[in-house]
This record gives sequence, C-alpha cells and structure tokens, in this order.
Amino acid sequence: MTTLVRYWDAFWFRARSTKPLGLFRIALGLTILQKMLLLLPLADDFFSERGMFTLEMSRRVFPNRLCLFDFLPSDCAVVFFCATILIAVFFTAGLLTRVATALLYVAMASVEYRNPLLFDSGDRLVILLLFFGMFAPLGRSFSVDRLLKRDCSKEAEAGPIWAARLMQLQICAMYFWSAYAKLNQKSWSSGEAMYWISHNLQYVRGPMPQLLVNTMEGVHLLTYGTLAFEMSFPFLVWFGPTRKYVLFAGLLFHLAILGSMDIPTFQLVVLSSYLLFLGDEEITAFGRTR
Amino acid sequence: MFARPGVQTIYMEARIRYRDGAQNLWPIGRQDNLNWVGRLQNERAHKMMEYAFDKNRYSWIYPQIALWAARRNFSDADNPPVSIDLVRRWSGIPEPPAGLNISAITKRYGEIVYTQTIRSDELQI
Repeated sequence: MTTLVRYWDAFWFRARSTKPLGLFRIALGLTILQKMLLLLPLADDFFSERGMFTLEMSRRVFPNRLCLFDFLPSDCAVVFFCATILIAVFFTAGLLTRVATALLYVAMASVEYRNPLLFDSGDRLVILLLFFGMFAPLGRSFSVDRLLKRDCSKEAEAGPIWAARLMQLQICAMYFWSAYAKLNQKSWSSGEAMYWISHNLQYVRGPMPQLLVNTMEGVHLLTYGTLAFEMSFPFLVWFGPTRKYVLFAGLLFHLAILGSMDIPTFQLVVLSSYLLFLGDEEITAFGRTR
Repeated sequence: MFARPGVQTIYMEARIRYRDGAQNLWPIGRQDNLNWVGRLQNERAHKMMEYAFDKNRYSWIYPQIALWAARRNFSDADNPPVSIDLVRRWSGIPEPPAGLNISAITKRYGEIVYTQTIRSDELQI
C-alpha cells in the first residue's frame, strides 16, 4: 500500500525536468500560429456581421459561454485575430508565459465560440491543452523567461509535473474514446472504413499509396491498423520499453494523414502533444545527435 | 475523428442571378478542384458547409449565407445580384470494391435548398 501511495505521489507530484514541456509549448505555439494566420484572411467572412455567421447565430449554438466577442465592438475580428497572433508569438517564445497561456486560452475559446461550425476536435484539443497549460511550468525551459532569469541551473529547470500528466491523460482519453466510438460502427468493424475515408475527395488531396487504398486487403490493413493503434496507445505509452514504439507508430500515422488529407490542425496538435511523453534523457540524447 | 465516415462528398454552391439576367455559379467549401494551397485556405469553409448542409441541420443560417454570397459577388452598382439559390452538391462514393480504382467523381447531384431575393439596400453594409 505504501509503495502504491509513493508511486502515486511520484507520478503526480515529483519535480521533473520541464524540457519536454518547453518543447511542447513551442510546437503548440507554432500550431496555433499556423491556424490563426490561415484564419486571418477569412476573418471578415466567418467572424463579422457582414459575413456568413453573425454573433447572434453563434449565441444560438452556445447560449452559455465565455466569449470575448460578446463584449467587444462588432466587426473587430481582424484586430482580435492580430492580437491573438501577437499573444501566440509571446507564448511560443516563452515570454510572460503564464499570462500568455491564460490569454491565449481565453482568445482561442472565444474564436471557437464565435463560429463553432468552423472547427473540429483538433481545435477543441488545443483549447483543452491551453487550459491545463495554465497550471504547468511551460515557461521554465527553452524560453525567454528562463533567459531573463539568468539561472541556468538544473534545479531551476525542474518543475511540478501534475498539469503535464493531465495533458498526457487527455491525449490517452482522446485515443481511447476515438477507438471506442469506431468499434461501434459497422464500417470500422467490417474493415471498410478507410475505403470511405480515402475515397472522399473533399478530404483527400492524395496521392495515397495505391496498394493500401485501392485493394481491399490494403483497406482492411489500414482500418484495423488504425483501430489497433488507437486502442493500444493509451496503455503502451506509459511503459518505457513500449513507449518509443507507440510514439513512433503515432508519428508515422499522423504524418501520413497530414501529408494526404486536409485536417492539418488536428495532426499538428497531436504531434505536439507527443513531446509531453518524452523524457529529459531522450531529449538530451536527441540533442547530442544533432 | 471519422468515427462515422461519410459515404458522400458534399459542398455548397451559390447560384447568383444579376439584374441583367446573367447567372454566376460560386462554389463554397469545394475542395476537390483546388491545389494544395487552395485546399489549405479553403479547409475551414469546407468544414462549415459540411456541417451546415449535411441533413440541413443548420438550415437557419441559410438566409445569412445567401446574403453574404450576394455581397461577395456584388461589384457593379448598376447590375447587382437580385436573387440567390443555395444548391447542395453531392456525389456518392461507390460501394467497395466497385470504386477501388476510381480516382475522380463521375456523377454529381444538386438540390436547391434555399432561395432568397436580394434587395439593393441589403448589399450595402
């Protein structure tokens, strides 16, 4: 029992290196920047009263919400987006990191509430990770904050891990429920799901490997392989010997989707979150090989 | 994501009629005829149209979309848009294995889901 309590305590509360959190912050910040820079030219079309979705319409979808657009002058979307991009630059650089994380969380949630029909689960994952990130020492490594502190000791770089654990659990929960939802669908249990997905030209920009998507054997392999990966990730990622294999499989899986389908934000945010699962020694070893 | 893969490809088209009788077809959220950069820029519009026009779940936003389409296609004050049809375009993906080697959509269907007359004063905002 004491061992269990000690393990639980170490799992959640032992101070660890914050290097993985620092790298994660940079990757997540760049993901948010690409998303906001792509949305900026569309601000007038999707987020203004002249556009296709008014503020009143967004209130109909989410009546109870915390959305800054409710308190700002109408048609301020371009200014709001520029301010959010500036905050994202601060977040990525690790300058006033805690404040930048909180502001970015509120801004990204507001953008989503202003036009929820534009976004998908990847965008929601960004908001969740920013929420947990407010409580994590995201600015203690690879950041301007750290440079300004002028304390380069290893102790100064260590920090509490519990918020990062919550983020890791969020990623595991995402894979688990995604696999669970798929298992109850006929197209997944019959092995045909990847046929429908790979032949939807509104999503697929190709080219996809012909052997995989143009033979039923290949389609079955992709479908059941996806299910096996999503089901096993939440369990195998916690153990040293299996972690690197499951992360490598995930890297290939999401890079393949990123290269062939139009769902960029989801792939980038999930790949960013993989950095949370790396240990200090893995990051140091990788740095040494460069 | 993709727990229930779609068996159709969907996008929307605005059919704009001008005062002089001319017509213009303006696709919204159509991805399959765009290059890589275009698809990246258009991805959000595609997502929104798929939400809005799949089973007409958000039919209450059609009037605003029609008005927006009219404003976006208004350039000549002497020949403004006078009516908009919103057309839901879709094509079925053939059942496997019949569609395994088909790389292009062969048949496309269309259905007018909403029509709106546009007043000149609505174009100015």
